[in-house]
Amino acid sequence: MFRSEIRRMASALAHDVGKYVARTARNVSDGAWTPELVNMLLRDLYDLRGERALQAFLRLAPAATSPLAGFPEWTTAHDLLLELDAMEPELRAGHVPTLQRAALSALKVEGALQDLAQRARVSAPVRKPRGTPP
Amino acid sequence: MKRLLVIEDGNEYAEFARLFLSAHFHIEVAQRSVDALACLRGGPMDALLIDLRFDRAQETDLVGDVKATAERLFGGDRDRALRHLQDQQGVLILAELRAAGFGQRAVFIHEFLPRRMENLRRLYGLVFALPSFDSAAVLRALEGAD
Repeated sequence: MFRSEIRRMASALAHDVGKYVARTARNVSDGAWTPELVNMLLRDLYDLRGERALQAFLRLAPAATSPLAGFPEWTTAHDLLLELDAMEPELRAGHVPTLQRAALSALKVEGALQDLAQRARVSAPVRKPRGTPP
Repeated sequence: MKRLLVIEDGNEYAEFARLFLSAHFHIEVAQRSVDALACLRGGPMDALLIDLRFDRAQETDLVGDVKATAERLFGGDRDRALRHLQDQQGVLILAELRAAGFGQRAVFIHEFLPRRMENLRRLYGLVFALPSFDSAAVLRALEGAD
């Protein structure tokens, strides 16, 4: 795989997942969750440009085949997105402590994917995709 | 009230702008370069908020020729050329707007490398970029208070 392709993939993750996942979370001050903000957060997490954020993440950087999956920032973002994916019922119910926790996790996802994009700019792939012959 | 033109291939920027910026700007939206130009020619506009990647746009709506780009940059690889045009579409649209004489402040929500940012400013003047949907920072950039 071209290094430029890896950089492109990491940049796409930061743009298509990280930035949008945190779109609402970054703008909620003092826990004032209006219905508009809750709905927008739900779209950020579960209808992100037409798919769930976790789905978008795994489509752009699949665990089994993406060279990005070898980076710690990928794992951080993946685990946080798994958590966020499971929070859906409580978020839809408007449970404020969960909304707060989700917003914090969304910001961490954005940060991890920005760090991943930065790392991809300066380094080569760290491993071959799983299943690749030695 | 000041007017803001949002240019994107989806509705995420427009939704963000309507929720967080509408106290400061009247929001207009365009999803293609041709629509953005029509909007700008239709009345005064104070600032532009532009998405960078247009990966959901129809190929025929993109600025740039896929075939020519493939031959010029990618050894004939049409898929890579299409991805390239989609990935850089916001900048290509800005270039068209500047060429048509529209010099409004343009804000991207994207983390450009410093060298790229310098180049964008050299080519297109008032260009700003922010790494995230931070409404306070976006507002400062759009209003020139940064």
